[in-house]
Amino acid sequence: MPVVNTDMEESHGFHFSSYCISADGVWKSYGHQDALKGLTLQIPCGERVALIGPNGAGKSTTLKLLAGLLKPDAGSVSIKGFPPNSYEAKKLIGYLPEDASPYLTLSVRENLEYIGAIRNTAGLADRIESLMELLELREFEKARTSRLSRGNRQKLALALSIIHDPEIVLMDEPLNYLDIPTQEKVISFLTDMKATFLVSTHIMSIAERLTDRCFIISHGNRLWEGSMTELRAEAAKDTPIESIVARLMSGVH
Amino acid sequence: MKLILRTRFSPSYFAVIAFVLLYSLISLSGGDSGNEYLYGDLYFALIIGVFSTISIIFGGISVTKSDQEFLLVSAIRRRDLVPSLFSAQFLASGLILLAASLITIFGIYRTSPLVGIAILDVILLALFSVSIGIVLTDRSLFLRVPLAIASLLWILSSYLGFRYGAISFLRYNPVLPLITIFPVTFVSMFFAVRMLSGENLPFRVSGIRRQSSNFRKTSRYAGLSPSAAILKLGITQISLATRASSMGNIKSTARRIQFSVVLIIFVVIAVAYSIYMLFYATPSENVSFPGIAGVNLVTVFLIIYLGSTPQMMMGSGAMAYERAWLSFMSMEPGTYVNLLIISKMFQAAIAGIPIAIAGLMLYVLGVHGTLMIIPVFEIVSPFMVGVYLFMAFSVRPYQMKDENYIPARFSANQFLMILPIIGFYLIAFSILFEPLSLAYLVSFMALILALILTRRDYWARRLNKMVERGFI
Repeated sequence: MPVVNTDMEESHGFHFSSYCISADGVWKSYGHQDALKGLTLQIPCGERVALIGPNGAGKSTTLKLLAGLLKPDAGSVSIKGFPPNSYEAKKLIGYLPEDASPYLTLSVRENLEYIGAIRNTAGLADRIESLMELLELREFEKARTSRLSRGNRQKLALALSIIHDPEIVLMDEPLNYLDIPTQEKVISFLTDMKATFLVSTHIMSIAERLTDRCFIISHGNRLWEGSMTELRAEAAKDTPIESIVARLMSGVH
Repeated sequence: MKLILRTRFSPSYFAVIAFVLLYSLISLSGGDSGNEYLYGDLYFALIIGVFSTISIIFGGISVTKSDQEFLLVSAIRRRDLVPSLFSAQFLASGLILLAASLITIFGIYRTSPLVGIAILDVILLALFSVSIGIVLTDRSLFLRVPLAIASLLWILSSYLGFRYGAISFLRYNPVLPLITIFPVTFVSMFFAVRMLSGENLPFRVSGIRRQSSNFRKTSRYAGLSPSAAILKLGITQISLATRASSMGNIKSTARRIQFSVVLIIFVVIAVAYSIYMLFYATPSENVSFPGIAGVNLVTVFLIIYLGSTPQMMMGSGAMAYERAWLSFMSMEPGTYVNLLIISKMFQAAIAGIPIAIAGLMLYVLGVHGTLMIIPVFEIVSPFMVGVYLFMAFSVRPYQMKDENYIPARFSANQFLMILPIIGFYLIAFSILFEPLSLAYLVSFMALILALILTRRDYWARRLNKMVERGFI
């Protein structure tokens, strides 16, 4: 059991946690509509987890809560023991929402430099060069972002979310709009990153390649949790993984 | 048509328009004589001048992204679609002009049988403004700016003695201006309907064809501290979001303008203002000016509009273009919003420097009443921008995810943004008429500003609301 530093806890709103991402009994509603109903999930540091669920299951809400953009109505959320909207948590998190839009009136380079600067990124110039190289954004360096294709905007959004080399990465459908060669590059890059990942996706092949474990949620609650191997073991060898997930989501065991 | 209108307007929007119209009608039954209406013509000239200029410079067709992706590709007969789109456009902008100007018309023509023709003049002018905006969809500024100047000259020509000018019904007779208004409106409506009926409509509303993809000049942010980066972006660039203005505008545009360009325009304005004040602002045997307590009202209005409208427009896009998932994730929301507000206040103060210098020089040269221009442009304008942005961030802000499309329905909220302008008018009027009031008003403004900039926790809570309402 780790030692708890109570002085630090009191002064920084910090609560020691061996988990990098933690949500405990979280409820969140929009008006009369409940998005999350007592969701609990805990992800140890260094683990890569996929968040899977049908439309309206509460995946994006979970990520927004963990990113500190929303506050839970009940329950608690923490990032390495810090409240998600705290300065300490923000330094650790890289967040990519679904259909993310960078600053439309800035060029690609201006976007990277601006967010890199306000993120206080060390070695920013080199970081920008390597991200532009990796994501093949160099030819659009001076292009106005509003003129970029949806795929190139997504590449830029990806770069912006990880420009500060975050310890904890929260991504909502990160490979949307990307062509297959770029998907391959991004998967390879993300799997090489030494970070804790929580990735929401509908595409099981991507979940399998990017992550080791998965949470299946539906109607704002956790239905199933386990490793990808355990997920596969849920059915016969030749059954497609999508069929297994669909069966789990519908609650038929 | 009903469905098309419902996708664009909230009931509250119509409620505000109905209220203004009702107010105009009620004012008809008042006891004041129409001849004593206090400088209503100046107010109207301003309204129609600003409105037509905004329509021409920023005009386009008011469409949502859903319209582009679903409505314009649907099998709808043109005879159904065109009247609906035109009506929606008129309701979004033309009706506001009509509602705002009826008070003036009734004030001037209340007792005259010509009131009907004067109202017809205004309706045609509103139709002209809406139509020309539609016609100019996806056209470049090189066409828009000369047209805006021509339109402004046509409007103001009535004050230069041209009896057929657009608003000469305010000074001469409501029948004479019809000779120019009718053909101009007819031609612009003809081309507007042709544009809405054309096969190229979906391509033209997307606005993609005519815009270059690269910036000729880009800024550098690498190596700056977080605060310096935000201040640099906020001060050096102007992102206009025309929908954020309170004029019932037409569409949202992701138009980035370098502040240096705007500064040159302010220098030109300062020179023009100095020439006017030195040579034309003095009453003579041939020229007289409306005034209160010996103060030339034309000069006062000039200063007040120059000190408020451009500055407000310069800050209007600050919220619409925000990327909350980037900026508020990178920094504590309260700090970020404060820095953004401060940057725009600085921008307004810098923009006002040429006119403030002109005011000082005019004072040194002995022109009466120009010294107080300095606090109006260097204190009141930046303060007003701060209040305006605070409200823009607070009152259900929208985020522009795709340029050229209105991001949400037109609602009554946008009328709330008139409040800081009214506040500005009151403060500026007080200072210009009673300079000593500056001492008290500075304390008042400092207090308000302190309240705005110390509400850091408020923004953390506000961010939750923004996200819940689909800001991200």
